Amino acid sequence: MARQREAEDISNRLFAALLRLLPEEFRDRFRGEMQSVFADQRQDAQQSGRAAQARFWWETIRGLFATAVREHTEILVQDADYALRMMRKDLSFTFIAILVLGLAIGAATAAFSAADAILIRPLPFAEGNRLVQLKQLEPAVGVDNMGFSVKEIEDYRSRSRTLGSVVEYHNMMFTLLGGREPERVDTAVVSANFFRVLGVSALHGRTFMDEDDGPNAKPVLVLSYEFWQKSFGGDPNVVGRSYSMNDKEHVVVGVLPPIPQFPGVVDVYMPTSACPTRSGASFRENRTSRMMTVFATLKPGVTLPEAEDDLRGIAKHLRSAYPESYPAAKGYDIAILPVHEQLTSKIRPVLIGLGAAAFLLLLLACFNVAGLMLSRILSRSKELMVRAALGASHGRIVRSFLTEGMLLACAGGVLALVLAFWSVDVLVPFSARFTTLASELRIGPQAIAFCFVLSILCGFVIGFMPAIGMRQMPLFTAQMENMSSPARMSSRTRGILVAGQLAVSVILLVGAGLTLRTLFQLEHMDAGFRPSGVTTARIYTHNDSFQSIYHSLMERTRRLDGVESVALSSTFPLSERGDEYEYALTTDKPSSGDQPKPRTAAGRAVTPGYFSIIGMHLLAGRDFNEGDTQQEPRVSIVNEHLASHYWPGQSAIGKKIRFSPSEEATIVGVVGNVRHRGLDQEPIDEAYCAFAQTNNYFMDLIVRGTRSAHELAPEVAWIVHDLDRDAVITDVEALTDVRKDSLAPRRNTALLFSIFAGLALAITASGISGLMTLEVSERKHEIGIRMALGATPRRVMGSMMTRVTAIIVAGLGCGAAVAWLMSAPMAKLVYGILPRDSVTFAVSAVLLVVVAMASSFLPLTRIAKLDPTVLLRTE
Amino acid sequence: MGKKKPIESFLPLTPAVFHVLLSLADGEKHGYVISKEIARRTNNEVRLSAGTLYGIIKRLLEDGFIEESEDRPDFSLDDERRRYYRLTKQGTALAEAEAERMERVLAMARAKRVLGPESA
Repeated sequence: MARQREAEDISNRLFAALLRLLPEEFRDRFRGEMQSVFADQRQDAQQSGRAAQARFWWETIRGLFATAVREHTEILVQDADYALRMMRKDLSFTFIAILVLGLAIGAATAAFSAADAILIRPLPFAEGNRLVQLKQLEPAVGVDNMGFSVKEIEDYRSRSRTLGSVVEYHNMMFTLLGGREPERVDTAVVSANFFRVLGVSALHGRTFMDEDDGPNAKPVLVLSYEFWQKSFGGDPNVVGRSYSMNDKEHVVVGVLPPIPQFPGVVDVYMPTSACPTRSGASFRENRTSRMMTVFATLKPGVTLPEAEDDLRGIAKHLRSAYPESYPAAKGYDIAILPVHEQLTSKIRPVLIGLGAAAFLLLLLACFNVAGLMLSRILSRSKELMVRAALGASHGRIVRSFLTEGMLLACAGGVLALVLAFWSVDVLVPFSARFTTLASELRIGPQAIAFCFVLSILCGFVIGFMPAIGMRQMPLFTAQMENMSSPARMSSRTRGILVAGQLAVSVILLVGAGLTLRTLFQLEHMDAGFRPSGVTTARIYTHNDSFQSIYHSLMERTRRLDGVESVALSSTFPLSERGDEYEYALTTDKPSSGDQPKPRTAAGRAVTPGYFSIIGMHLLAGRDFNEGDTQQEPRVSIVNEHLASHYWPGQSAIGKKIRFSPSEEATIVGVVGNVRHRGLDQEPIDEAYCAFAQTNNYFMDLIVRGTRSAHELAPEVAWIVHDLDRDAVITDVEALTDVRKDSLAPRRNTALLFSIFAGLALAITASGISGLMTLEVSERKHEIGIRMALGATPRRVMGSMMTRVTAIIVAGLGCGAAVAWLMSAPMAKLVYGILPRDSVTFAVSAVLLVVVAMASSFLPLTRIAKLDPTVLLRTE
Repeated sequence: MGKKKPIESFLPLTPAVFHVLLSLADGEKHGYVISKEIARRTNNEVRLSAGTLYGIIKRLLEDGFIEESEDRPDFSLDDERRRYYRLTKQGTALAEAEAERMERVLAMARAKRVLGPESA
């Protein structure tokens, strides 16, 4: 009996729990009856056996679910209908709310799609997750990636137990002949398994086969999609055609699909056997002819540390087997790192920063729209009280707010998707400056799902926040006569919502300020050269008499109108191209102290006059001159950084440096430091050689004059082709543009952060203005009494400004504190200033205070126009 | 609101709704009796659980087809949780309209010889 009662008790409790599926009003109305019917039906079922009981439970649960779905849907339709009517009634609110939410959700969706495509998703290659790059290092001399020789690749390929496929890659510039005109093509020289390992198939034709990469293989080429489109107009018949390259006929065997190229963007691919340098017998046999980059896949189940241990074992073997190739003094070692990490390292802090900014903007939008909702709900408080008096529960009213919030957020979500789709056109070129994975960026199903979920969450937040503010409203005590009390009670919530917007705005303003200040610093930085009036052009020639060709080129260019001086250089500051050699320099005899550790230095070849044309300062000694020829002893000019490193406090003139055991040069001059690798990169050791004493086939023509690059280009090109029909001239551009372009990633980052901050400021200003308009209209009665009792409008305005000031101070304080604490992640985005830069913080604070004060002051000016007698009469 | 809509706009009724109306045709009843009577009359073919039954009752109440009766049975027989429902005039009209609709359908079926002639 007791057992039966216990079972009944459990059943009743279970049914009571299931009743919670039904809407509150339904439950309140029918709970007792339903429980009674349930108890009676259960008793009937009990008497009819177990099968009947099971059927009873099934029917009970199914019935409850079906009724719950129907009832909830009915309420949703009613609420949505009501909300739509309200939204139509107040179109300006609806428009602003949808716009604010659309912008914020759109920004967040765009940031998410970029992060998803570049940081989260695995590499779009067959074994992307297991793809690693191998690096040989000489840590003792500061070399962190010295490349691989053919012998070393063979050793690692054959000896490794943890690597699956080993792929080699190196970059060359070749001239492609046979098209409309000679074309300089960026060429990736790869092992035959390159495309197989990446899982890339050709769009037309085929990729490489093992037979293409043998000693007697016919030279073949695979074109990249972009090059195929640009130079062959997307003609599929290009497959099978022959083109001349390096004095050999190359057959195009395939065209790649539009995939993100890895590890860099090139025009054509060729197998290693077709590369004249790589296939030379002496190069292949020389263990120290290191030029190649090596990628590999980890075997399934192998971890990164396991692979590292395995490779270190091989490195140890190489050190002992070939000590002359791996001098102990340089400390040979090998490192391994995931390719995904390598490809995303530059863009990671930028995307994290943008993601954080988008999140903050979203938070701000929610605060703003919730504040607007709350104000609107307050203006409808009479109507809400009537609804409450007619029996609508608190939950039912909150639910109608939520429905309204959801509708607004979903409409915002639709706008957000449109904006996100549009943003791809902006984000792809922006990201492409940091990673080749940028081409993967698109608004796919994940981004659409993210936008949808975010819209729902925002709808919940903006519907629920006002509900919290309304908690204390005496709706249900129906104090109709005291209409000012609900407004007062939620006034605090509104104040908090506005303070929240201010706080978020400060953080975004500081973020934008820091990136803008960084950009300003870099734009005005003395990088050690004067770019104005300088034009550069890259010249490629394979002609053996290149020295005389270059000599004639300089002579004839110098005679052109508007040209003041001309020089040649193997590369120039901030150039993304050109040859730059890294030497492990050693000096002859240190004049004092300990033998300094050998360090790497960048080596460059230049002609006399280069330094003065480019605006570099000659600090000591002399420039190169016509006497520095092949027949004369080698001379070198070093930069201040190198000189002070090796000979601190002494003159470097006359000292000797060695580029290799057989290459020694005497220092004849010292020039100022130049930021060659980027305005945000510190100067490094540099050693310049005289062009006439080197063998550089490819040079940059450096021209100082009064004519623009655009004007000079055709004339210089004519001279180049007149001197060598097969020579190629590319990238004729002003050095000022090169400098400007080098800051494009920084400029774009600052621009994006500024857009976020600008939006934040505008939204916050509208939030504050809305708050004050409402305060004035709500407190009209009180204002009327105060003015009737003698208070001047100015005094009334003053007391209301006190409240605004308190909100501004609170918001500003919280925001500034958070921005202060966020200095560590911001440190990666700033240069030349501190992440807690006091100027940025001060300017951001002042800007925000001015905007906040101005936007709150305008509604307050209405007080001056109020007539107390009219106010008191109407109230 | 429902009262203003013509009866025809509610037709056809679902079997469950029609059976609830039928069950109340011969007098007021409370929920359990309604469900019990329907199960008995349909030989257990139509069984209404508490959730389904009160979903129907709520809609019929809102549309004005049934109403709550204030007459209560003798105190000793009453359960205070129970409420008694009865058909309104509109409810009776709705049941009639549905029955007539079904009759017309039956007549059509007979005319097409899908059903045999009506037994005497």
